Amino acid sequence: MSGRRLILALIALVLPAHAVLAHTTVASTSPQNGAVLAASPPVIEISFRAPANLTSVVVVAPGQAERKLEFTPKGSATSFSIPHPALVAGRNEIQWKALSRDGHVINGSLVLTIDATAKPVAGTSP
Amino acid sequence: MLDALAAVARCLLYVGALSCAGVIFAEATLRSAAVDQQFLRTIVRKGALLTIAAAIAGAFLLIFRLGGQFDEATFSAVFATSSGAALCLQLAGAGLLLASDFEDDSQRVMRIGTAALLLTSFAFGGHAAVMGPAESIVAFLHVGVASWWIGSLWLLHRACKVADRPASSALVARFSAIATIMVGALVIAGLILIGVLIDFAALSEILPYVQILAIKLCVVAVLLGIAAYNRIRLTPRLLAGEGAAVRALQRTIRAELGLVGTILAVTAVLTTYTSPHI
Repeated sequence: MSGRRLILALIALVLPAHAVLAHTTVASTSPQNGAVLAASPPVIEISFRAPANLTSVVVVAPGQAERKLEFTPKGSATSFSIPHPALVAGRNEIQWKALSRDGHVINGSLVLTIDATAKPVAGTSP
Repeated sequence: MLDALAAVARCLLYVGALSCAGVIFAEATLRSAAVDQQFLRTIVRKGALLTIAAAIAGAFLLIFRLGGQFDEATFSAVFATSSGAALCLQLAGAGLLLASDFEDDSQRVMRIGTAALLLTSFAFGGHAAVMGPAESIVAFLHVGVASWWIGSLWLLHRACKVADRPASSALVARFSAIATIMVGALVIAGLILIGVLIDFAALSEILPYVQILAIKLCVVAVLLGIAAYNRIRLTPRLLAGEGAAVRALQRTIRAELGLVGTILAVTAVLTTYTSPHI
């Protein structure tokens, strides 16, 4: 096989893979994905099935600029806390990225909707 | 796009590291006058440079794939984990091979050790390392034997091109004697890794991994077929002094190197995008 053909074969292998193979290893989140809350929760918890390194958390809300959220701990852990996310009224998508223990980049998101008319959920009031 | 670039960088890393470590292992075991020392140095140096460049590119790409934030959490993920340890081993191993004095034969053992050190970066990080030390050792054997095969193919191809017929025939005969054992060990180690790494209880959730692994195994089967053809048909013709066998062997070795490149590319996709467990 010539070098050019090998490179083309490599590109053909790599390109279609992007959209289909991403995987996440989240065990649970608090509040749960899709929750409708009366107010922004004091803390968001993300728990993984195995230790991982969380590296990036941002919140995306309609009409708002993407905002970076702080989290703890900064090293390898199974559970991470995002204190005072200050979610705004409406749909908030919290997008996260992490490095799994076996060296894979994993990512995911959870959607939380803040609706002042919604019934308050225990443990999630500010 | 970043994931695709990471897969390309990983493939180049495999090509560089396995080639430069492989020719050192191959030269040490084949011990033949037909080995072109100048060519060996060129492969080691180019392979080591490619390893360093691909490892650094891979680290930068990892930072950007993790969100592109040059902060404590990202640096901790990239450098204070098994990924960081693998990067250190790759840079140290390739750097030492690059600086190695090939004129000094007393450094041969050190070069072999350094080549082994470089390859540990693949075995003691990633999926196998998560499973345990026994799996890491099997992975190391798998990668080590694969690199020996790749290095041997480089040296054989060169010998068929430039060495005289008796010397190249002796090299091919020596390779054939060792390759039977080595390729057997490679296949057994690969099958053990498949058995221990794949979470068979969650096959539906790791289907992409299994599908890409199946592609890799198909290419491996073709490669083994060509290797068997070389061993059973071409080698006896070469040893009998048939001139056409040398040219035929050159062609099949080129095909083998092309297939090895494809296997490394598929492996890079496999390890970048998918996981054998959930």
